[in-house]
Amino acid sequence: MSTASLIAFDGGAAVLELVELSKRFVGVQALDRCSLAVSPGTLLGFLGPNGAGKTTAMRSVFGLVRLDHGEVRWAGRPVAVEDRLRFGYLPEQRGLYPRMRIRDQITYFGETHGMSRPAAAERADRWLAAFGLANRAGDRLEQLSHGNQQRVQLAAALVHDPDLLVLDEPFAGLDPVAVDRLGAVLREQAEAGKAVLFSSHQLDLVEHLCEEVVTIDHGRVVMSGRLADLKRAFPYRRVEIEVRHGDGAWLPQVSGIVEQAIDGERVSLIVDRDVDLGALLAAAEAAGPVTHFAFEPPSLSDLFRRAVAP
Amino acid sequence: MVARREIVERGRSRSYRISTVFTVLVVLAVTILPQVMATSTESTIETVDYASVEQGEEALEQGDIDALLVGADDLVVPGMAPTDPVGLGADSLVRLVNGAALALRVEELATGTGRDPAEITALLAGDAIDIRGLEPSDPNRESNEGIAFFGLFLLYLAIIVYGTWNLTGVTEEKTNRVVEILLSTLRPHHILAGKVLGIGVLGLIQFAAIIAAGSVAIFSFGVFELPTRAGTAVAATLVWFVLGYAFYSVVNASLGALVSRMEDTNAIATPISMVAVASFLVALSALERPDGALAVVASFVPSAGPLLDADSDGAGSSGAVGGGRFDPAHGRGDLRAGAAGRADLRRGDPPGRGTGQAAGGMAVDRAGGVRQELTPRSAAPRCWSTPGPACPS
Repeated sequence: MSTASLIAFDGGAAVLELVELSKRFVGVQALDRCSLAVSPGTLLGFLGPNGAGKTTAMRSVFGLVRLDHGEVRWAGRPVAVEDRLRFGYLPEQRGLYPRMRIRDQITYFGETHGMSRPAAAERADRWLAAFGLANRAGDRLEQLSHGNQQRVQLAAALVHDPDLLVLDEPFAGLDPVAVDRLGAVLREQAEAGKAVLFSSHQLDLVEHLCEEVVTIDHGRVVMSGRLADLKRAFPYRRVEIEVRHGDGAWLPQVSGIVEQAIDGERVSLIVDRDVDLGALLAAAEAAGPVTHFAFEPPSLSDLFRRAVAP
Repeated sequence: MVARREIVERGRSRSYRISTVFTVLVVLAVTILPQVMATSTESTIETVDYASVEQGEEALEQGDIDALLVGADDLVVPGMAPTDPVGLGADSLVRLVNGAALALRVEELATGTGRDPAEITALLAGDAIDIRGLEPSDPNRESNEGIAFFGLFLLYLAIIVYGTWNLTGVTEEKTNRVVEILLSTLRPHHILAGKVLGIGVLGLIQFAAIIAAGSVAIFSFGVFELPTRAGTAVAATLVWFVLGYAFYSVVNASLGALVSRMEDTNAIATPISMVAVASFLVALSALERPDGALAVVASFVPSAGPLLDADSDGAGSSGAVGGGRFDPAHGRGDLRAGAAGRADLRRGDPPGRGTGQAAGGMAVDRAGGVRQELTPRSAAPRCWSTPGPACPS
């Protein structure tokens, strides 16, 4: 992706831009001309296999990585320390004081982001209430369960009402209810006009939450754009057919079938986008009564696997 | 902001409160207890007569008596006989009996010689020479030195302890990744300064509590006379605390930033402690000779300077550690000890330099030979090897 094309996918002006970031650690190219952009009001899912460079890219937004090349821009200018007062960060390995009371802790992080103490305390209370932790406000962090600690961490990232949220694996280790709650919070933030960048390995979750995704591998962007566009442009589709008493032997040697998996009466196929569906259905019907026939767009998981395939 | 967090969170922690209270109690105990105990050093000896040695030994075995004196010079004690019956740390009863027996012998021997037994007893006690210093003696010398040592030790302890708080504090923030969030909005030197400042204030509070406790104990129990310049010494100690603490805490915190796991802090702490201990030892030896070359040179080394200057403020400048002060202004070789007769006690070396062992002294033993021994901080001019019988005043 060239610098010139760094216009957010919705056509609006990008707020956060990572421009051709490169970073080499000993023996590993963590980032290799990696570029992406997040615009206001957007939830951007940041994907990639383990060790792809996601965390390095996110840390670079906060000046925690000395880049070999490239720069991080905010509203068109290189990010300054003052800009970061308007950023919220949830690091991959959580960063909180174990023995500090959680309300004090969230207040403190509000203060480090330039808030007055009373204002920060008031916001801390609001977020604690929103996360159902109001009655634990005076507890020390270490007294909380992992999931609740995660909520405190998120409250610490949100307390100063940031314009940009960068969340590294925010869903890791959460139960389904907490996942739903966090997903709702992120949506609210995006709807309120905030730019949200988060990484995750839970692809179905990302598919459910995000309109846009960026996938990197070996430090390079391998796929990026609106999810709907990516799916539309994907060359393959999923087809599922069930034929009563069928054993899959009816499958015609139709051109365009890329992959096939037979599980009893059910046949799952990955087919070319322009496969002759009529011929497929006819062959199935010839073998017996068709009880199920589905033609589906690819899942994010399909897109991801193909993007990072070696 | 960072400093306030340190003060509030650490000040609130149980460990800080407990350690403060505990240290204050220890200081009070150390200062007061010896005074309370000292009131019971006088002892009385009761004597019981037995008809036979066997009866006496039985009573000894029963624990009815502490020791059995048979005749004039046989003492039976319970258990094994002590290897060093009259040395330091020997049983006080044994020493008392020994002393009494000795006095009796002297009296016996003196009878008929026309000598006063008291004269011989005094000689035996070792008071063969009178010692006079060139400088007027300070009645508070002992307490000055005590204060200097105590101040030095406290300072050393404080610098080590509070410095280490910085080390663990920084490593803790690195380990639990809080620093990632802090660094996104704060500059590293702000975090460092805040941490050092916050812990420093807490340290100062604890330190002040210790000094206050010590002062209260000293005043109310009259442990010892106040040093000649106590106020200056305390103020100077505080100043050196600030400087010493600043140096060690910044070193600790900076090195702490190098490690990312709590287990690695030991590797960092060891070299720092070694430097601090070495500095402490240098300062201790400088307590003996505040004007020595070692002290002067070392006081310019940041790691040792605060400790050194603190002890010379506490002791040296108040004239307490006067032992080593052979002022060159008094001229070379004028250190004669008023030698009488054939014994020329002039020192070969020019004073004030060369062999600067100010604390070295000479004692002339009763056999007429010369024996050198260390008499720390002797304010007297020294005798230099002489075959003479003594160094009379």
